[in-house]
Amino acid sequence: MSLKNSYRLSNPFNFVINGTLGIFDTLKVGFASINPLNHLGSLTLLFFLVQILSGFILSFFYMPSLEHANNSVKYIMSDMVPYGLFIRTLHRYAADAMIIFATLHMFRKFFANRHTSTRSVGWYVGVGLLVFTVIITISGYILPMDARADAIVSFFGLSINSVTFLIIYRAIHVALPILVFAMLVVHFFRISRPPIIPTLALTIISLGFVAVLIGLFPIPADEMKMKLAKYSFDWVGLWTIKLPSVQISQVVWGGIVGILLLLPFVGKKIKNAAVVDPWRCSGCLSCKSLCPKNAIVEKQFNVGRGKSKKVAFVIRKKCQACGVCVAGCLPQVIELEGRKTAPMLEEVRDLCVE
Amino acid sequence: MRRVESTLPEKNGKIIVFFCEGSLRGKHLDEHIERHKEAFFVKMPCGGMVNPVVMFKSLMDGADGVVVYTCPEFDCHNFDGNSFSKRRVFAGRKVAEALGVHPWRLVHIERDPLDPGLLTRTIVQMSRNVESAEVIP
Repeated sequence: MSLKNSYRLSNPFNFVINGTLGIFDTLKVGFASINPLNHLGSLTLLFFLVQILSGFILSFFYMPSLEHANNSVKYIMSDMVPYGLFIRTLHRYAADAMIIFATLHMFRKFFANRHTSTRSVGWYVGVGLLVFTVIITISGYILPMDARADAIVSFFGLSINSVTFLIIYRAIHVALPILVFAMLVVHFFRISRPPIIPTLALTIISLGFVAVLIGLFPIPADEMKMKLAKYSFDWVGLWTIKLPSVQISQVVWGGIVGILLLLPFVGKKIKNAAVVDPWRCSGCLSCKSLCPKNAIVEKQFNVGRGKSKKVAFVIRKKCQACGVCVAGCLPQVIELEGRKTAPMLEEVRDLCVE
Repeated sequence: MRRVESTLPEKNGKIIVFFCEGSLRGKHLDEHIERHKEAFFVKMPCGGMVNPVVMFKSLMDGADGVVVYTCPEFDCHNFDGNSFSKRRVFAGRKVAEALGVHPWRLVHIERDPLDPGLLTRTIVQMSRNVESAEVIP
């Protein structure tokens, strides 16, 4: 392997320049951009947006009343509504995809130790988002008022009348997604450049995959019967109601949420932070644009004799000690606690002299 | 995946490997330190902390080559640290070329789960370049 190929070029015509191994490199760049494991969070958001859009379209045809709910869903699934069956199936599959990707996203963040210290706020909000997503999914299965809805209602011991039905629809299935959207803003706001959009190729592949699934396994039309002995069960969204009783499900969910909330206390903590020397800081704030955690702000520093100047200031609680600002600081006035530049260069010099 | 073993004598060249703590740790780090006697591994909190000043200072202090080893694309702990690092190394290479320094002395690579031998191959290749060059500007 030549040295030219030992690093990757962002040029898509890398293979033209570097030959055969370049093709391999180019393919790998392609794989990285379409690997769903690299984009779990953004895929969760993508399917949330798909649900919002498909739910908005479905709400034109859905009748939120106890008497007409079942018939209106049947109407949506009939030929009377163009693409009605497709959109309803998309709404359901997107919910499952969202839960799967959100769970994988949490696993990945935990195993990469990205849930402690400065990231714990995002983790706690994420736990809330997962719980709300599951609640919204379960409430969505009640809305068609079919045999599955009966099973869910009887599991939770609810007595459904017009009022409770409207509460489930308005307060849980419509209002909670708005709350979820607000929580997503909190989930992102501590990051300066959140990677919230998956790559175009991955978006096309994901939506295409779901479209193929819908084509192969659409929701069967006879599933809407009020009394049905056997119906297809959604293990992703409804595994809770397969538990022996509602008390056990409460204990299980309480345990899961409790463990998830305690996890930020486990793992490596970040104690160091970047420190700006205000006397030498030129106030260019190039570090502010580089910081991935929005931890650098502008501040007025009193230089004496009633004069002050603009300087960069690091918010210690937000800093995760990555050192990106240290490298980006032109006057070299930022130092990272525990990894200062001068001792590091001395260490390198000592290594070279050996 | 075939693993390329280093066959060079001890301390043949002096190669500084700046690696971010997310890309190389534990057993893998020990293996690399054990395998490459010609390379010195310097741990950084993130690849984004390595700038051209650090790279050129290392070269000035006697290093024959500098390798910056970061997390894969889209998998940086700090979102953009690896891409900043990559751009800085490219900038450093251009400056090196302009100054008459061999650009192969500065290399940026990303950890690749599909290719565990990448770092080894890069260090071996760089050591061979050092060996074959009569004078290293």
